[in-house]
Amino acid sequence: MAAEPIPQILRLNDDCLDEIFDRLQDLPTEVSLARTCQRLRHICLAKWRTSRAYEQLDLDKWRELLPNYEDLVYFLTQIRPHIKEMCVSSCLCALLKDLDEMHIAELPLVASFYYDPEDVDCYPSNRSIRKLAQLLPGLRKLRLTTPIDGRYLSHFQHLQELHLYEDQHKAYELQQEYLDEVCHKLHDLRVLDIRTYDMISKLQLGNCVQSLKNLSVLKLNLATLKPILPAVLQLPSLRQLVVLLDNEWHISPLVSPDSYDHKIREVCEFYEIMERKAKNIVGFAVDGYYMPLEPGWDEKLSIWTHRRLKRLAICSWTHSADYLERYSCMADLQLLCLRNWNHLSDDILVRFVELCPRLEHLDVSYCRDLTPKFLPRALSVLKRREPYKQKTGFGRSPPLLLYYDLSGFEDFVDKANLKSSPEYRGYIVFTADFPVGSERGLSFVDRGYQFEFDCPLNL
Amino acid sequence: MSTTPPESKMPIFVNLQTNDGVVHTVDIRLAHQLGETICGIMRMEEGCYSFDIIPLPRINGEIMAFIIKWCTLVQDLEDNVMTRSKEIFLNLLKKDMAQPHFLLQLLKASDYLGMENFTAVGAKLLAEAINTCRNSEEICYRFNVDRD
Repeated sequence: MAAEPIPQILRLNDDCLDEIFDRLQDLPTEVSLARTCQRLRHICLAKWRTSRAYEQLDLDKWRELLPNYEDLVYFLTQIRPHIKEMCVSSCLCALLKDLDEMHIAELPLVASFYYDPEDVDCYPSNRSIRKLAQLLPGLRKLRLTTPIDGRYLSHFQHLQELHLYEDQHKAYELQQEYLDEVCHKLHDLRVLDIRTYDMISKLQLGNCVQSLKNLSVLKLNLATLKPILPAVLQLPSLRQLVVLLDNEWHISPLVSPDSYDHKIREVCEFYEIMERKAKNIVGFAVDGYYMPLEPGWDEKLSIWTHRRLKRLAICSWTHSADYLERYSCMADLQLLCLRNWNHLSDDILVRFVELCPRLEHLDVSYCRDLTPKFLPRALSVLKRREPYKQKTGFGRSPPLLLYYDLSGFEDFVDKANLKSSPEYRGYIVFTADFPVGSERGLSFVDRGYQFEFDCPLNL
Repeated sequence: MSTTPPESKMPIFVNLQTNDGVVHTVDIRLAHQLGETICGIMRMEEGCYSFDIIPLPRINGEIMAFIIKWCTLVQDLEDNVMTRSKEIFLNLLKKDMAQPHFLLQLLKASDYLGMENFTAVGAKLLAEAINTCRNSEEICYRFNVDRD
């Protein structure tokens, strides 16, 4: 169109203006439109919000989209009240300084902050943590895996989740006094992850476990758990406990270092949880590489009386698969993870598919002994159970998610393109990923164990 | 309300009356291209088409004539529909020597009629006009917007 004036554009209704906005070429043009008048600013802001493209603050990306600094500041000022997440990989101190210069004092709706710096030397200072708490007054979820001593963490008054763990070396862990502060002052805390990867954790929860009444997920080192295990098991809302075996441990001076087996880990707490919480246990996971329990270790557990297991993950096991068969009595099983079993056979696996009708996730990654023959057998069981699943109009249970990375039938699945096979549609979905909530790699839970409880108070 | 016999081979027409009293008689097939508002009224008669007049109080005769002309030219397009629809739209504007505000009226009318394709073309043209502006001041000048 020729560049002649087009008067009365504001006579168009909002629907028409929305249609025009949808066809603007880029964000700078949208910002120019927003800066004209209040009505067009409302139109633009509504579109930015409903597109959800700017719910996560990404200053580096927005700098590229808006090279003009004034446009960037204007846009940030407009979208500020609607930003909901921050995921930061650059230096936190520098980011806070930039926001300060733009007069962005508060991001009231940000509920989630994830800090994963690319530069390993960029540790946030205590001052930055304090400023962050002022910037994000409504923060619910904080993941901060760089070394911090923990000062000012308790300033995040509405925090519900605190994740401090990463499976890498850390120069130091939280200071005890600040951990105590977090536990005493953050009354909404539901998830606490204070694991330390590569040393014996010196953190203690003895002074503050009584304050953790709302805690539903606790992830900690065995050294921290040991003195307070009974109190932890009595936490009224606890539904998941993840224990990381410490990387170092005390060896009694009387033990001969030549005969000491470094792979024997401390297991009495594991058994104690199994016994004390037997009627509440609905899931457990063990890393068999770091906890190589003897065959028959589970023969006399109290969980057999209750049979409530819904989620089971026993990984990197070297036992005969016959020992696994006893778990097929758990008819409510929804997730079965058997990564990296040396001797897992098709027959045992088919038995689980037959006897556990609610099975939704079957993870056999790294199980090299499985064969492609398992697949039609499993499919046949599922089809006998629900013959009309592929027809429209019939009520359907979810398909079985089969995690098959580096398993014995991985090549077959890929070559036969079973992911798109109409024969398996609705019954089995093949995925080379790992179940949500599990670690990636050879074990569902890394270097330790995990329990899930049916918590009566958990809403 | 009169009805036409279903087996009749006579062409079926619909009468559309705009707010200036002008009646536009269009073939039923074309009428179906004129958006959800008109289709909805025709459906109300349960497939029994009639020669009664469908009123369109928010559109004037000039706008309706343009829309009918455009629909006639694009209804049989199969390839590059969006691009060619836009070209036809622009050619018609030039041919009619339409003033810029005419485009806004067309857009309002197509929104009222529920003509998605027509709205898309009109909105695209206006968006392209905005895209040529370098900053807010130019947008305000071009579209006669009072800055606040």
